[in-house]
Amino acid sequence: MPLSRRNTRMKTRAFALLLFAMMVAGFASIGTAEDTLTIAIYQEPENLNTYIGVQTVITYVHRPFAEYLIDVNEKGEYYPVLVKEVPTVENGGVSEDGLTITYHLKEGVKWSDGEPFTSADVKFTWEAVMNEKNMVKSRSGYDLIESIETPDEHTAIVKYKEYYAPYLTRFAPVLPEHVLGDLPDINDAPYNRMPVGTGPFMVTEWVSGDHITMEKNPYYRNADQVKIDKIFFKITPSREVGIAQLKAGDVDVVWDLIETQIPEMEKDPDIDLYLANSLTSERLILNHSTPEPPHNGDPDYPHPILADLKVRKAIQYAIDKQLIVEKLLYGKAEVGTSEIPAGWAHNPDLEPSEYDLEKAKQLLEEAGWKVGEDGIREKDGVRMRLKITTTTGNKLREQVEQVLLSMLKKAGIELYIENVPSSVLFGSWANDADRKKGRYDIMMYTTGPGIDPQQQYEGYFHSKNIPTEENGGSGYNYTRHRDAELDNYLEIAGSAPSMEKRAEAYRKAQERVAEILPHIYLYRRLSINGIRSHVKGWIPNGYGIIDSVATWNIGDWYLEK
Amino acid sequence: MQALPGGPLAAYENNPEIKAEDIERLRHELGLDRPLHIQYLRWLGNFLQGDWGYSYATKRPVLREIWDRLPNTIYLTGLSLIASLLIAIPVGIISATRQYSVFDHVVTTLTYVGRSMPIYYSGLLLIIVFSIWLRWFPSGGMNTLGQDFSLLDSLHHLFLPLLSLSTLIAAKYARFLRTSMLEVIHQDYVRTAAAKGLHEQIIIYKHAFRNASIPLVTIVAIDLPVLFAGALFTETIYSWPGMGRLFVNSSLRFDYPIVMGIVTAIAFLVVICNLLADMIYAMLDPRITYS
Repeated sequence: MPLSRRNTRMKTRAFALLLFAMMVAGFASIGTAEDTLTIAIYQEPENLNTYIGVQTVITYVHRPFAEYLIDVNEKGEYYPVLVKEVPTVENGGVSEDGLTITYHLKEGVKWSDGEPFTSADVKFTWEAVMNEKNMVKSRSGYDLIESIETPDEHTAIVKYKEYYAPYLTRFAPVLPEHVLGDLPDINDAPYNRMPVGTGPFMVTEWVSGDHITMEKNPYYRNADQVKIDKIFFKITPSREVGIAQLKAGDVDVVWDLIETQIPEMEKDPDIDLYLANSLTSERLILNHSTPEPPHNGDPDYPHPILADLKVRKAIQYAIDKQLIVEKLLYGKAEVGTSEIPAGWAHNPDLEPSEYDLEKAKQLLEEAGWKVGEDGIREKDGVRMRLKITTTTGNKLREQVEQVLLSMLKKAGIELYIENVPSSVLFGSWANDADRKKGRYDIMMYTTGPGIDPQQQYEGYFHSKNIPTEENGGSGYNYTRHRDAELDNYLEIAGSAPSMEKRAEAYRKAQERVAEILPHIYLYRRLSINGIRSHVKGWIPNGYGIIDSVATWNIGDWYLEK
Repeated sequence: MQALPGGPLAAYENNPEIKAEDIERLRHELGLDRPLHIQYLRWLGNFLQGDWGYSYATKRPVLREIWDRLPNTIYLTGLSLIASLLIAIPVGIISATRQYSVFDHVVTTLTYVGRSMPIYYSGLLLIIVFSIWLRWFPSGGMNTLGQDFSLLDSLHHLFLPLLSLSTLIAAKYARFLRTSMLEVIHQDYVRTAAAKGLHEQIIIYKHAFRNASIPLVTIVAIDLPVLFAGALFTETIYSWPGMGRLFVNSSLRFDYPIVMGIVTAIAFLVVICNLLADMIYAMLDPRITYS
């Protein structure tokens, strides 16, 4: 059939032509005069309202437009953003009893729609968080506010019913009253996708599943100093795709990489790494109560192995943390020492624990654990066999587990691995999660305090926060330790209006935790971004009011030509 | 989904800022504290009144979320369907009329490979070859960011996802059409037509193909859910902002209202397409009438 053959040939030719046309179109992308920055994010934000959403990516994407009253710089110091100065007892911004906080707002600040920013917006933020109809994720702190007085446009006086220690971290960010004030609720407000902020950029477009566009905010008070004209947050299906596009030069920044991706990026001379030691640490959480039903999680029934302090100390001595950091984290991370690894409440006198196998063995002997036939210790017929649990699907954690397994074996402790999906590990009391109910020996995961450690520290270490039936399983004292001295420090830290006194109490609390070892800190987690080397002006910052994110100072970024 | 561990509020559990009472409150506000059958009946009741509910995650109306993505999915799957038919029909006919020729053997092998290769594998292969090694095509997205919309740019982005989705179904249809053509070609009426001295082209395209295509229409109509399932992978691999990706993301975060909404929307589409298929039967075969 000659006819049909010619047909096919013609089709092939047409197809080749089409292909060629497409390629040409692809190559002919013309450079624009504007300075644009493309950032790959592998999650799409649920919305851009941090009062409603919990994802870290929301914080990452909202920093270019949202501003807080007070922020934290790369040294962990509070600095004023929308206020003239950080209120303290000394400058009269905080009353002696710590119940009244006076904010003096900067003058001449405007929202990105041109409306003035005033004390009414601060008051409205509190009202919006407390509004019954709004499905906010948390009302912590705001529920302790009695009233907010606004004597003039630039003064907001916040009166608390009872002392709330992390008061500096509230009003982050401030919500615009003129945009949201007339709505019955803010749950589905247009603001959540097309927000109005006071920061250097403003959201101009959001194409679902594809990208979010931001442009320079003309009403920003330092708009003339902002160098970047346009930012695209491009939503990619995974980190790996983001890395491929970074290497190809299609994107300039990739958000939230993991430690194992460091060597691959370091090889590329066109890529710089944003590495910030964050406040979160990977740690071992050691159960002090029995994991066996029916008394699982009851601190009155001690753990047959781990309740003994000597055993916990021996475990810490048997772990070579430095080796883990060097071999598995490419020497980029810091060894963990305490819950508050940096910042104003950090205890700089705490040294990283030493690796001393002999001491570990000696402590175990003292505790009555004798080496059995196969090298694993025993005591009164109990074998020194412990389960270690972490989240599935995390290569680094699985490697660390293997290393811990062999390190502890040298001391005569047998570990066995049983990992579960994160939704199971971090489940709720109602879901009967093992963590909440105390059915585990050792858990390994990452958590850490915010710039104000109170909620985290009290939640994890105060004896009143052991999850029980009576308190509905709230609290994070999963180790079920009870220590009056530690409780005392935490109560002082949570009630003293003076930051000095609070810092002192936290330092003592950190020492106490290092003595009684409910947690063994392995290493500090890194916050990692891959950035193409023509992007300048970024400063690694491990601190953050909500989350530590690279975009915290994006108004200062620029492109080197 | 309800049987799986975790739940819509699992992400809230590990945040020290969020207290247990906050989680309780949100659970109540989302209606998750009610028994399962009540939750379903409430959903059904609202649905019948045209209210598809609100996404747990974004708090936006489900219809709005789906409406944002549906056109992109229809665009991709629709064009894939057309492209695959354009490939499958000539290939199927030629390999049937020249059974056991070299062309037929090559096609049979290729379609076999195409049928067997899952999209998440072939898609990644295409990305590696065409986007990373050769840099001919972008690895994802629908348009180049920061540029005004242009048809060429759009086609440029469409090419790879279209290729991987359409080869999969084209391979299937080509094989199907080949079999059904072979069956028809050997029937008496075709031989009669040939005996009458009709031109071979006319016999094949007018007489044989028309009859052989009826089962193909059935297959295409039945296959639509498969096509959407394929789109699920394709969209995820090529960062295509469609319903498939929305479905994957929503499932991962237990966003029940969105998942229910998408399943319902696909059910509607399948019904509509089956109806269309029935209408096409009548056009192809005058013996089929509906009264």
